[in-house]
Amino acid sequence: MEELVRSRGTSHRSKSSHRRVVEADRVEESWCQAADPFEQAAGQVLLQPDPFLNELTSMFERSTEKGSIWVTLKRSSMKCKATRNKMETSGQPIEYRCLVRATDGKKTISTSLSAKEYQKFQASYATVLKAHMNALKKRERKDRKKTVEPEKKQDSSKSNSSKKRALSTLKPSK
Amino acid sequence: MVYIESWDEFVDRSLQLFRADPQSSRYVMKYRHCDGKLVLKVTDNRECLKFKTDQAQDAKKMEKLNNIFFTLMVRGPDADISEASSKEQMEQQASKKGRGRRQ
Repeated sequence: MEELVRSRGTSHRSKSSHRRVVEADRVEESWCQAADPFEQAAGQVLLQPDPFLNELTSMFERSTEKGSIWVTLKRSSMKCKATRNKMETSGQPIEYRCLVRATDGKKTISTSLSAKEYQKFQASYATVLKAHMNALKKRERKDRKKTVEPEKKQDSSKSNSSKKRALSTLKPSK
Repeated sequence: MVYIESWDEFVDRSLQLFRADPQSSRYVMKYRHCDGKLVLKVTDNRECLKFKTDQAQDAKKMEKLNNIFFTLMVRGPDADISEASSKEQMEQQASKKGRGRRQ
């Protein structure tokens, strides 16, 4: 039952978020139906973790002036419902993975992580976010006036330090 | 859709929501560099919890939440998520691969 036609470039935000939900189930369905394991329903690309991170980085770099990046995490067995039910009834243990999807509104990429891969991915992912999510406001917890510290030339008698006193009063928050 | 003011409340309720239905719950992050805005969402397609911010310190908190969700999603809703353990395991893994490089 395909109630939503996937047309890119829609401006209806509420519809697009619902579309993403439908997409979620569709990715899982198509994963077991497609002959070619990389073929996904309607242009979603399943990558290995490292290429995914590279592509995510590119997405961030392209979206600085305008646009959004969505990253979704979901638990998934990567198997369609039919297969899952069969496995459940036959007593086979189902291995769950973490499905990670990223989109810039136009292109969607995804990867799936196993128990062995996820910690390494988690670290690299954090690095990517830290490097690119720097438009957020840094809050100065202590709003200090620039107090002039008394110079202690006699303390360690070296040549006059050229350190800017202003910098020494700033402390990184948290 | 509910925007939650308190970060801790958002985390607690999100984890609760996820654990109640790990199959349908998902965790979404939306980042807009041009507006300097970050929005987090956790939903099971019935209930929706959201948190929005423009503060850099919340990005740091989000990192920890990311790690928690990765662990829960791969290992299962009953997994031990004490953040210290995930860092330790990372170091353990690194040292295993290093083969004596790190002592």
